[in-house]
Amino acid sequence: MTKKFISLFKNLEEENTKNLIEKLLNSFHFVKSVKVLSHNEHFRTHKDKDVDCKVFFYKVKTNLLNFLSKEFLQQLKLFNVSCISLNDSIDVGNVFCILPNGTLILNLNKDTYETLGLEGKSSTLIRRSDRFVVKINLLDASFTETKKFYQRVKWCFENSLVTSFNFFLTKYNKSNGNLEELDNFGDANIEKVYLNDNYLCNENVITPHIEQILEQLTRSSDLKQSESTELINDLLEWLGMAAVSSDRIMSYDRVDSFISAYKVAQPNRIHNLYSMEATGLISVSTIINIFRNLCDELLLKKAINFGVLYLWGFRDSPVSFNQKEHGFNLTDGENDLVLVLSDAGDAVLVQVLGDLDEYSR
Amino acid sequence: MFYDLCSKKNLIEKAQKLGYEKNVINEEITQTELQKRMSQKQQQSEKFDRVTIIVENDTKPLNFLSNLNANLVAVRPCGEKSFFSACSSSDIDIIQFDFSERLGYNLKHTTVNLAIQKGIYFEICYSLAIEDENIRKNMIGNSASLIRATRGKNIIVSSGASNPIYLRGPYDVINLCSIFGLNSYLAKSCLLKNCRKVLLHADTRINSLKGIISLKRKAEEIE
Repeated sequence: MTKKFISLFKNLEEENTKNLIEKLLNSFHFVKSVKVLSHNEHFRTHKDKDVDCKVFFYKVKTNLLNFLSKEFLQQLKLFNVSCISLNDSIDVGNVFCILPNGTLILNLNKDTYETLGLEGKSSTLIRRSDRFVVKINLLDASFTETKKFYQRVKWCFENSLVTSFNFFLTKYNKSNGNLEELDNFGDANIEKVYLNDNYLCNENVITPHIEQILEQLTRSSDLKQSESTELINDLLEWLGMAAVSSDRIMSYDRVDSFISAYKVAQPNRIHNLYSMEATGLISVSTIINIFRNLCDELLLKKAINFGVLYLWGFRDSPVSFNQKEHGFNLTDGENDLVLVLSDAGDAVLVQVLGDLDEYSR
Repeated sequence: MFYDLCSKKNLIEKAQKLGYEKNVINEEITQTELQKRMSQKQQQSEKFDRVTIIVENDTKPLNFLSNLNANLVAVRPCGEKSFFSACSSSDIDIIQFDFSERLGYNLKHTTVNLAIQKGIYFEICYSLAIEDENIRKNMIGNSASLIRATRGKNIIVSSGASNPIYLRGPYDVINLCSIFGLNSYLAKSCLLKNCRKVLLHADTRINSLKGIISLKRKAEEIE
């Protein structure tokens, strides 16, 4: 069962409000896909501000031992590095990640944990779990070559867990958030990949008055709980359909009511919707840049009335928001976020999480 | 990794595409045919990956199994006596049932617990439920009574399919098990850790003395 966490913001022009939103976005490290949606073609001419061709990440094929090399640890100290493995699924296999604070997280199945030789804890998400989490702080002052713990970890990665895995990795500057080139480390196989942004225009889409909805939600004092829930659910439903360019919200749609009885909430209008989407490993700094640019378009230039930022996390990520443990069940593994902004300075941020997630408990 | 412990050679490719990393090839043989082969010393030279022995005579004992040359041994009993004999045997890894018809006898907790204590697992082959809708009804009823008797313990689920069209992905099988009465956690175990335990049990049965000591040759000695 998925859970939603809804945060409402007003006065987006104030730095405090932006900082609050950025703090939430900063805690979302492993974003697989980002999409920006708006109604104005003005968007397109500035496309390289949002998800531009200069944004890149790395595909790395390496064993875990290379993450203990001097060259990598040096880069980890000076820059923020996010890294997530791609090979396996988190419910049956082994998943690894490195957080920007230098923590290496190994989310392992029982076999691998028992043969690895490092101490960890049982997963908190399921009772009688067969999954174990090992956390190693690579930036700890005591994690040096002369120390016993380092030697132990090195031995385990040399002898127990020697397989090579595929990773996505980003490296960015701690102060200005600029993406940095990754230096070679160990014998890792590194490939630079530029984000390929897919631009899409959907014509004549029935769009609700998002600015009015946000104003009602954030500023109306006499709005009942049930009414605000209904407004948010209707908005989320429309946003979901807009994300997949569903026919149900197109003005030409004449579907049989037996198949679908969905109607876009009134009042509504007909717009063209423009979106740009990119998939890979999107760094936190890129997401913050996109958010800042969207705010500029809305509040400073008044070029658009509303903007939507979708973020989809990796389903097999070991952590979700605020570095809380994340898992995958049969039907849910969501760790997604949608942020809706209006030119009046109102915003709604919705975090969607599956049941197997420490953040949602 | 997901296991399918009752597969065929022509199904392995499709099974691997669906997500089953480990597939065991099964050969079905009747009790009389097997005893005939063993008496002719034919069986000494051939080794089965997995053999399922179809018991035809409820009264005949299963003591010939200790000489069987197979990695995995499964038995399909035909009646209550052969079922009891299989549960008390130390030479069996899996007990399979013919779920296409009603069992004809009750699965008692005491008999089932005998098998559980010996580390024997009970197998449900899901492809029967997909092949025929008449068999499906019997299968659901029989599987539910097996799960009730075992309390969800020591159960594995495998395909037992004859044709690739009857294979289903692991998560679909987990969903299917909810009809049989298993929750998603138990159903996942039936495809994951329980199957692994069966293989370990078989390995211990073959390669160890009294389940305690096993010797492995060093690589240098073989060279």
